[in-house]
Order: sequence, then C-alpha cells, then structure tokens
Amino acid sequence: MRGVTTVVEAAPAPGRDTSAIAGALTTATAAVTVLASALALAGDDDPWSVVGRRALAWLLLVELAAVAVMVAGVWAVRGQHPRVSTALAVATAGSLLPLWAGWPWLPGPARAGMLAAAPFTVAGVARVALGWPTGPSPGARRAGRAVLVLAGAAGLVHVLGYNPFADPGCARVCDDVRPLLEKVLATRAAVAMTCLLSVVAAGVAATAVLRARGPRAPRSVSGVVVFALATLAVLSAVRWASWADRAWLEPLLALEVLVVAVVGAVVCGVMIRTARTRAAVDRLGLQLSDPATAMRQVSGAIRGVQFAVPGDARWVDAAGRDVRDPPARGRYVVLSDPSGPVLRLLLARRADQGEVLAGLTPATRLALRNAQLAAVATARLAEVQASQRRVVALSDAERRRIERDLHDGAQQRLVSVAFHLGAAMAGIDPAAATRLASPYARVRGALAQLRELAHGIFPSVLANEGLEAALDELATASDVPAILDIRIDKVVDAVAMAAYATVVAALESVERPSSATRAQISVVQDGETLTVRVEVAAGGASVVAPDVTDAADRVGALGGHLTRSDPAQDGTMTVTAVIPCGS
Amino acid sequence: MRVVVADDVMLVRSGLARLLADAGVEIVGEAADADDLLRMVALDQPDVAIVDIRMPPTHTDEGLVAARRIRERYPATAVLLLSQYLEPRYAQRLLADQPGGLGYLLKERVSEVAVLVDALRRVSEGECVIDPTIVARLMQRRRPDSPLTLLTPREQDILALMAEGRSNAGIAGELGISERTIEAASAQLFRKLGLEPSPDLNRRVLAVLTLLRS
Repeated sequence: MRGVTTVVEAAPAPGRDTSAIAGALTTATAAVTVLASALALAGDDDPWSVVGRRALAWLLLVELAAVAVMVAGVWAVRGQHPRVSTALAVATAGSLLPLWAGWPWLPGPARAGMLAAAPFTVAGVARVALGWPTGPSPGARRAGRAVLVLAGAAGLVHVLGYNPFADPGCARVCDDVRPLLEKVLATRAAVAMTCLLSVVAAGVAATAVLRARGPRAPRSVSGVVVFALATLAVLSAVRWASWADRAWLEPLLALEVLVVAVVGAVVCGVMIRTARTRAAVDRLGLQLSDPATAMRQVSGAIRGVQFAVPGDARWVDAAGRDVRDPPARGRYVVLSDPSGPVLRLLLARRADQGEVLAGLTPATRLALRNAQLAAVATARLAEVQASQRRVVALSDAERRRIERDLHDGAQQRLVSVAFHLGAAMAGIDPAAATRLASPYARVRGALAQLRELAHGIFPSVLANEGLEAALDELATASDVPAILDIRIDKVVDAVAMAAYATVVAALESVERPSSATRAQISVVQDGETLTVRVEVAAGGASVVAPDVTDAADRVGALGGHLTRSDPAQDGTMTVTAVIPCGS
Repeated sequence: MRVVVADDVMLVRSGLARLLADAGVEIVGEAADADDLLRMVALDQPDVAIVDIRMPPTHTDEGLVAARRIRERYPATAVLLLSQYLEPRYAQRLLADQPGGLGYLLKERVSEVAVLVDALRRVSEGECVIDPTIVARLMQRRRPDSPLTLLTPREQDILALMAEGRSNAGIAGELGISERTIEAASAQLFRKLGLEPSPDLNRRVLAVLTLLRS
C-alpha cells in the first residue's frame, strides 16, 4: 500500500481518562518546583552554592518559562488526546522532580528518590509520539511498553543502589542515605546502570517513532520527540561520564527540563494547527453533504476527496467520475474500514497526515462515508446508463443495417422488376398488357409497403439529415397536424434518436385524429439540455396513454427523464423529455 | 429527346434504360455515380438527366448535389430526380430555389412508361413535376399559418394536380369539370397565394413553390 492507511474506528476505545489527575499532579509539581526555587533564591541559605546566586536567578526564570510551556502542553492536548497529555505530564514530572533533590527541608530518602524520577522523562517523552491516538500500530504499543519497563528498571536500580553522599555531584547538598543494595551495588555503578538503561530506552523509543508504519503522530511531534530522546540520551551519557565533576549535575537537570519544555511547546503548536485543520475537515463534511458545491472550495490542508468503489480497483470523485491520475505519493491519506479502502483525502503540499487524521471527528467521518455512498451510487448509475446506451446504439446500428439491406437488396430488385414489367407492358398488345396489370400493381404495392417497413425499422432521414429534418418529415407524414418549434444546434445521434422516439410515441397517442386534432411539438436546446415537449389536443378524437417504453429507455440511457401526463378529460396529453446533450 | 441515366444499382439503371429505349428515348449515357454523371452531362449536353438521389459514396444526397450543379452550370439540361424514399424535404431543398426544369418522382412511379415519358417532356420544357404521393404528403400538412389554409378543397385539388405537372386540360379531365372552370379557379388560386399576373407557366411554378415552402 503506497499511501497511509488507517482503520476508521467506530468510536474511540473506552478507557479511564487519567490525564486530568496526571495534569493536576504535574501542575502541582511544577508549582512546588518554581516556588521552592524562588524560596531558595530568596532565602539566606543558598542550597546550590555551586552555581552562583545570579546564575540561580536565571535558572529560575528559564525554569518558570519551561514549566509554563510544559503545563500548557499538558492541558492543551488533554481534551483530544488524553494519553498524550498523560505522557507529557509524566515527562514533565520526570524532569522537574530531580530538581527537588537539593532542597534541605525534604527528608533525605525522599530527596534521593527524586533523582530516580529522571528516567521516566524518557518514557514520557517517548509516549508523546507513540501514544498519538491516530491508531498506534502494535509495534509502537510494544515499544511504548518496553520503554516504560526500561525506565522503571532504571528508576528501581537508582532507588536501590544510589547513595547521594557517594555522588560527587550531590555530596554537598544531599544527605547520606543508605540504599538497600549498598553492599552489592556501588553508587557509581548504579548511576552507570541508570544512565545506560535510559540511553537504551531512548534508543528503543526513537527507533519505534522513526520506523512507525501507517498513521503516526504529526511529523513535528515525531521530530521533536526523536530530538528530545537523543538529547536525553546524550545528557544521560554526560551524567555518567562527568561523574567526578560536581559542577555538572544541576545544569544537566535544568537541560532536561528545557528538553521537555521544547516537546511541550511543539505539542501546543500542533494543537493550535489541529484546531484549524479540524475546522477545514468540518467544512469538508459540510460541503460533501451538499453535492452541488462539493469539493469546489476545499481549502486548507485538504485539497480534495476521492472515493473507493467497493469491489473495483478504481476511484471516483464526488460526482462519481473516474479518477484517472493517482495522487502524488505521500500526499494523501486513505481511510479504510474492515471491507477495504473507503476514501482518500488529498493533502496540500505542506499538510501533515497525522494532523489531518487527528482532525477527523465522528460526524465528519459519517459525512464522508455518506459522500462515498453517494459518489459510488452515481458512478454505478453512470455504468448502467453507459451499458444501456451501448445496447440502444447496438440495436440502432442493427436496425440501420437491416434498413440498408432492404433498400439495397429487395427494394432495388423489385424496382427493376417494375421497370421490366413496365417495358414489357408498353411493347405488347393491350389485351396482353391487361393481364400484366395485376402483377404490376402488386409489385408497386409491395414497393410501397417495403418503403414504409424500411422507414419504420430505421428513419434514415434522421441519420442523413438530422433531427430537425426528421421531425419535419414526421410531422408531415403524421395524421395529426403539428406545429413545430425546433430550436437546436447540433445534437449527437443518440440524443436525436431519443427525441425522435419521444415525438413518435406522443403522436401515436391519438387513435383516430379528427379535423380539430392538433399537436404542438417543441424541441429546444438550452445549453446542455434538450427539452422535447409534445402537447396533443385531441379535439374530439380519442387519446390513449402512449407507449413510451422505447422513448423512456433511450432518454433514461442518456441520463434524462421522460414524463407523460395522463390523458385529461378534455383530451389533452403532454409528453415531456429532458435529455442532457452535453459532451 | 437525349437522356442520361444515373443510378448506382446496375439492375435499376439498365431497367430504366431499357424502358426508355423501348419508348423511343435516346439514352446517351449511363452513370453509376455523381462524378460519372457530371462528366457525361458536360460532354453530351443531354436534354434531361435522370438522377437517383442516393448514390455512392455516402448514399445520402449525392444525386441532389449533382442535380443542383447541373441546373447551375447547364441550364439547358433538365433534371428528373428519382428516389425510393418519401423524402419531401429533399424535393423542397432542391425545388424551393428554382423549381423550373426539375422533377422529383418515386422510382416505382416511373416504371409506368407513359408517366415517365410525360415527366421527361415536362421538365425539359421547364416545368416542375412532383410525385403525387409527395404532393399528397405536402397537402396533408395543415400548418395553421400556411396560405394553403385559405384555399377551398377544389382549389387544393387543382394545386396538387398542378404540382404533379398536369396541364389545365389534364386537371380538367381528372376532376371532371371544364377547362374553363379550371382556368377561373386557377386565377382565384394564384390571387389567394399572392401571385401577380405573369406568364401562366411561371405562375404555376410559383404556386407549386408556395406548396413546397408551406
């Protein structure tokens, strides 16, 4: 499958929405972090003497901005994508909690534990991309779980094996807390393992995000997540490598906050754009519910819609016309249901597949589905009409051939017989000529009959001279005096035949015309429509409902319609055919 | 009388030639298509060309086109068109411009040698001859706005017979009334059709024209 496919879900999978709790907790964490940093800055006691007071002030400002962005991201995405919101909340908490490690008013073990939250930053950031709700693939789900397990393992190793007092980066500000596994696991080894596990988790997550097939998070989200994971991996590596250098720990922790803040900012931006895309998709749904304007004014991210014809490897537009050229690779999104593709949305050059999919509401999907049904019905009807037209054309061709055969064969032979009989009668004595008179008359009678027969099979005047001439001749030959009003340009044979058949049927409705019988025949071409209207006023003669089957078949095959009024009390009757005659 | 016969069907062409030869008409050429016909007319300058309307290549109106060209280029050659179809419009198209020296008959009609020879003579004299079946069709067409509606049934009968190329004597014989009555009725007819007094032949042609154009 060249395009991007997603399964159109009937409804979002039900599940507990934990994003509100996660968001609230994260907001609280952020508030405490900022407050504590501010207090630390204001207080006499300088907890982070490594960095100067001024540096701390800058850090606080950056922290404030970053925290604001992260919290905004968490809340912006909450309504539509609760899982992404929770993931971003976890990442935010994971990046902020380690900052608490330096505050002397927290009990020692809690401060040591705070550093163990850092690996969850990786897990949270990864799930921002992997948990995007446009239909995560099973691979992405597995990767998400693996990253969470790795982060959990890193955190556990940290809690069990980390002695802050043994960490040069923490020694000055941290209490001495004896970890459970102190005997087996040196603090440095614990940190190394934590960092390694974080790097592995970041690697697994980045690979899963990059290799995701099918619908995925918007490109900007995937991109920033991969960037963040790479940065977090580098920071972990630096943390391990700079073990002995006590100046590194705090800037590393601050950088992690910034990285998560960037992710939060991008999520905020995507949500703003998604709101616009959603508006465009909604407009599309509205337009599709009105076929007349459908697809004319599609704007924004979506350039058009094409619909799959079930059981047929082809696509049609909203009007049911075949789509010849496939859209450019990667510039469309296919929506499918279990039975196969339903439709594809054609995207603008810079549009993002993930964003467009995220913008599809259930109502829009319903509108699109309806539009597909309508387009497919139109396409199928066109096929049936085309087949009907072929049948009619074939039958006309056959009738024309028979008419020609009659003309070129039997009629010519009879004419020649008549000539020879005529010559014979002229050259013999009157008594003998009288005996030839009867066969001669019969031959002439046969010729007249044959002529009527040939004309009934196919009106050659229609093919040779056109509709106007044929109708004129028809009106001339008819027993019903007719007034013709013909205003036509050039019409194709099939349309002319349909119009002719309509008039023939209408004129046949009068059984025995009286001298007062009249017919008004108007054939008017107006742009791409030919309107044939025959009003018959019986004037005392009896009018029956004409057999319009042949005419209706011909008109219907061309996508037009024929209506016939029932003969009224006063003996009037109208047959009207409206025939599209555009190319 | 010198005549050229043009018909793409050999059986018909030879039958016609045989019929005419027996009647003492000189056949100066037999053409199978319009090009042949025009060449023969240019070469032999016949009195009359008998032309089948439908000839190769399209079998629609080649004969008609050739007839018009003959009347334009060789006014001395009259044209008698033959058709197997009832096609009043063909007759109208050709005759409506200049009906003199033109005839239009159904093929089965001309197998009657007297009718054929009579028609040949009339067209060569500049008259107009239209097949009675076609005349009947034209008369039947009762358009509400046509001047023909002003005519009495008797006058309509006279006009129809005029269109068939009958003389006043012939019409009188057909209708069983005196030639004098016919003359009076014709004058009335011409007046109703708005035709100014002029040589009789010309007026007769114009009256037929009115019928064709109705």
